[in-house]
Amino acid sequence: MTPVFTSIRAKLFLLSTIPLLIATVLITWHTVDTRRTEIETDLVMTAQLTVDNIARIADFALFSGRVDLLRPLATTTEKIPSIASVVFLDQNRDVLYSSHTSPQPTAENYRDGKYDALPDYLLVVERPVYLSETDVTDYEDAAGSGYTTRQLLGWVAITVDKTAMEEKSSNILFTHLLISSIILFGAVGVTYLLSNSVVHPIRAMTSAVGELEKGNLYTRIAPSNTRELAILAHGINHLAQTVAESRQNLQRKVFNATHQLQSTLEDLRRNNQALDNARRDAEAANQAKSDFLAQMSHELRTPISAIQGFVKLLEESNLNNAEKRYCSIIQQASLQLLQLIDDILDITRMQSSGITLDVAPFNLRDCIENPISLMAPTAHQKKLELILDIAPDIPAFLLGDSLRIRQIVYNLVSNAIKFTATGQVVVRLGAKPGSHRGEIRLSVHVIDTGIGIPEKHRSLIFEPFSQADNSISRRYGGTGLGLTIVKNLVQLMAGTIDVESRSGKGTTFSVELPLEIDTQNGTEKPQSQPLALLFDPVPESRQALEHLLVDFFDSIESCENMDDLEFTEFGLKHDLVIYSVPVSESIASATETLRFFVDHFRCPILVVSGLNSVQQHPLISSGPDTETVIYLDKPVSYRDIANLFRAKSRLPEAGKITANTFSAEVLIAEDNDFNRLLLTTYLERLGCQLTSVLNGQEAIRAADKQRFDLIFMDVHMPEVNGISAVKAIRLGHGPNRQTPIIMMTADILQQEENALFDAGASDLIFKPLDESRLSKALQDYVHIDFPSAGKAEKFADSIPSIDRTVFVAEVRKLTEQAKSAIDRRDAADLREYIHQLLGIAGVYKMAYLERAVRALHAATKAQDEEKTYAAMTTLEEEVGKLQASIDS
Amino acid sequence: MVRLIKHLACCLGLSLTALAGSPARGQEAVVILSGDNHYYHQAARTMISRVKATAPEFGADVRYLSSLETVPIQSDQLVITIGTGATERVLKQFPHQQQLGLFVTESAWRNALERYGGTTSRKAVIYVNQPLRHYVTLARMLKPDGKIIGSAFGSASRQYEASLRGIAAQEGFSLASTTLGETDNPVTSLTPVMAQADVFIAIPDQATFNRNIARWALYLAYQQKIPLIGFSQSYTRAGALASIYSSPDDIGDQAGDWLIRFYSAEGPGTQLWSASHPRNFTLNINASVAMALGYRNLSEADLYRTLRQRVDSGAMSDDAGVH
Repeated sequence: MTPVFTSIRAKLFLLSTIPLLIATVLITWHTVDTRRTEIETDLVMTAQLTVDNIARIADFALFSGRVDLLRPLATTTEKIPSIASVVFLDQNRDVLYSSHTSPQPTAENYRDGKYDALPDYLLVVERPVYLSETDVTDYEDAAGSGYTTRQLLGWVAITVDKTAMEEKSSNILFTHLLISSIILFGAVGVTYLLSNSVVHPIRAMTSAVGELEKGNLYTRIAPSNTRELAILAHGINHLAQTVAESRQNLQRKVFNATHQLQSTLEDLRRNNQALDNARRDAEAANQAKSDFLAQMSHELRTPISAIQGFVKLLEESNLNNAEKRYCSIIQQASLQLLQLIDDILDITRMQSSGITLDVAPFNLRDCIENPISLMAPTAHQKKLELILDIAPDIPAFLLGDSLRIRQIVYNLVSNAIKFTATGQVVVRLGAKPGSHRGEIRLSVHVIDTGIGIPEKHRSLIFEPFSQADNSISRRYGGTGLGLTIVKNLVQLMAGTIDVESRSGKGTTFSVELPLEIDTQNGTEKPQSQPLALLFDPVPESRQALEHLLVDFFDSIESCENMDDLEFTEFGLKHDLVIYSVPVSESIASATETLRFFVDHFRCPILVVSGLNSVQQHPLISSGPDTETVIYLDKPVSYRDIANLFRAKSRLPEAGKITANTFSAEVLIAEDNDFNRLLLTTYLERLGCQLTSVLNGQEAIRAADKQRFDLIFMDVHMPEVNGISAVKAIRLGHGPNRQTPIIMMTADILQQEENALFDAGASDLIFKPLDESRLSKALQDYVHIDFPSAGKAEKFADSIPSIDRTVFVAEVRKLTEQAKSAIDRRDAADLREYIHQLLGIAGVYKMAYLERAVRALHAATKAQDEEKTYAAMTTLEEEVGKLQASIDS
Repeated sequence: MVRLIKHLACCLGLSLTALAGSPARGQEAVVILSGDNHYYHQAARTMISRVKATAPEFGADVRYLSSLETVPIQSDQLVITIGTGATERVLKQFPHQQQLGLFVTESAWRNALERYGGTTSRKAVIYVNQPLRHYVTLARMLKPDGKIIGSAFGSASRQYEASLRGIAAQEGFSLASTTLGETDNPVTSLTPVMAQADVFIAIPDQATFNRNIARWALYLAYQQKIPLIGFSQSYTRAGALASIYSSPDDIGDQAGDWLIRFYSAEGPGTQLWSASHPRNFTLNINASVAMALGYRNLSEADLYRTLRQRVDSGAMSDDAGVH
């Protein structure tokens, strides 16, 4: 709302004239009204007095009917101003005498005594005339009784004309108005004169203030002869002077502050520069740390791999038992060292938040069964039952990071095996409803019968590098990182972990993970058989097998011991007999039990045992009915039973199924000749059918034409790189949309790693390729069991079959190309060549060569030209040495 | 209430005064007042004082008429009634009782006698009105050369017209009079009388008549410039030139004299049981009217003395009066 501004003069006028006007109006109105009332009252009173007097003196005339006496009374009365007429009425109100001739009031008015209809200016006042008496008796009673009544003689009425009164009132009103107007105009004039003495100085002040507002701070106001205004003007002048001085001070301060600010900004700029430099140094240091860790990891792995290789070679030589035990110890120590390296790397990445979950659909059984299978030999060597019990109602496919879930289970189970001397380790999986539809809370309980954890140490077990007791590390080994990794991963997945333990009785680790159900994928349930006989003396193992077999058999007859078999109807009724041999059971006992089953049952007999101990026994191997006995290692996986069912129709003919039979179609996409040769040689010896291509484009075309069981694909390839190729295969319409694709790389950025998994890669292995990584991948994705098979081709065996000259030639070629790229300052080509060098440099465990390549890699990443040249020179020297050794 | 207290105090005072002297049993009288009027009390006090001056043993039981029923009256006891009301009541209720009536006009007494038929053997009354001769004598004194006396009569005073005419004739006057009924216009009737009379004598009648006629008589007399002789002090104040009347003291003195004679040693004679005009009178004049009518140096005392002398002398020769 816009404020309405009015001038001081107007306000003064309003303040002076409005009250005066109101007062004048009120006084005039009051005076005129009072005077009018007084005049009217006087008039009425005069009329009343007059009529009263006439009534008193007219009695004789009326009594005597003397009109001649009435006339003078009327004439005299009419001389009173405003009295218009005098009328005498007789007892009947008929007019006896009237002094006027005007039509009003009429004789009817007098007769009725009603004068309301008369004009307002006429007022009629009438009085009755009684006969007056004179009391002349001194003694009332003396003359006898008598009474008095007033005798009405007639009426006298006076008509008053108020016109004169109205004129008088008007005159009074006019006079008052005139006086009021004169006073009002006088007041206005005086106000105007007074306002001038106030308004002019104020205008001058307003103008001066306006000038001050414009910044003319040296404007001053002339002194006024009005004391208050003079004080005000002095105040404004003083204020203006103060403001001017303040502005000068402020300007001086601003100047100083600006100067200081500029200095501060300069300091800040320098500090920022220093901070930036420090940040760069820190980043470089961090990168150096990462590189160092990676390099150290590699540096550590390489000699360990050499140690493991040589120990294996040593084991195959003629050694006595003590020497073999020493070799076993060395092998175990090297494995622990590798695990330690992996754990340290994981912890490092977790602490730097370098781990992100790769949420993708996965098969829960495959995810859990694989690490359990890997750890089963270790458990069985310690005569421990390793039991995997998966509740049958758990959804088969879930959404989550299967790699990390597998890592959680692996660490917990390996931990349980480590700290359990006798008894069993049970891995029990269940599911509870999640917080919303489509989610479950997957529970994983790892229950062991080990040494347990004392109460006071439970809070420490999840701390890095902490174990319950210092003696633990001495007795059981380990770094204490496993549970820390587990806890971090569980928290990363928004899950919970809990531990219950009784010292000397065992420990139970309980993990709950919220996971979405993958409704897109599903397993096709096999056609079930009517009846199976399950013989397992270990209750937990028997229950686990019952859960496993529930999809395959309509009914399962479970027996714990031989006595239970007494109630079994032998013959052809059963479709399959499953004999689960306790790990701790002797070969003889197991063989005898197996013999019993062979003798009494005509159906195939599945023997489930640890480390194929029963299968390898000569009695069984040479038995007459071994054709109907099938052997599987503990713990049996769902896939094993499924495969068994698929081959069931061939069982009588096949007689025996071994898990080591492997024939798969594999696509290799690798641009590096040496790596491609190495991988091809290794896989061909395993019996795989191979298709090799040199880049991503060719891989896409090959994948469109033929279905493969497994695809190995290099990340960095010309034309179309591995990530784009994976994405094209996954999004295409070829037969390999679901085929596992294992990516290979020597080095990868975190973004690239995320991108390739986003594209649909199944796994990632790092170059240089070694046996453990390849075998693990093959185990995971085509389910070939290398460690237990014993008959599979070893990766190391593939290397000697490749001519080292090929390797050296490849290294030399790549080195020269890298040197050329450096000269051309082509960073992309240089990175590609270094990548390839990284991928093959470690194959032959040539530490100096590999170190030179990594130094070159680090220098190029840091964009340090000087170091790049130095590293390049070192590499050339190493290649030269290598070539010289070949030549010699 | 004030009136009642005053009434009781008055009764008590009179009784104590009357009994203070412890008169002989035969000298006790009962005084009945018609009402609580000051002139009744004044007359009673004057009367009792007069008697006590010579007979201190005289006692009087003064009562109001309203308490007559409770007054123990002996058959041989004298009852003094003051006022027409008390006189008529005792006359009616005790027709054979010894009774002295005071403050009663002649006409009222006659009417009462006619109305109640009582005997006058044991009744005495002293009229309040003066004899007509007093008025005519005064008229002559005021109009020595007057020839016509004007007057008006009502229903009660009509009986005195002949007497007045006779008395006037004795004084050398002729009478011009009119008789007014209740509905007659006094002005119309009085105007011709006033027009020919030299002096107008107002004859007392009933109170209503007196009030109706007085104003017009005074007005017309004033208009005609003739003196009007009234019969009361009020008449004089209203405009009459002079009035002759009986004051309470006049009546009390005369009653006292009567009682002294009644209780004298010789006992009440038969002469006492009669009606009589008051022997005493009071005269006063209206000085303003006198001035208006041209009477210079008219002294009320001289006029009374002269009238007294002429009345007394005339009474000895002629005891004429209104009867």
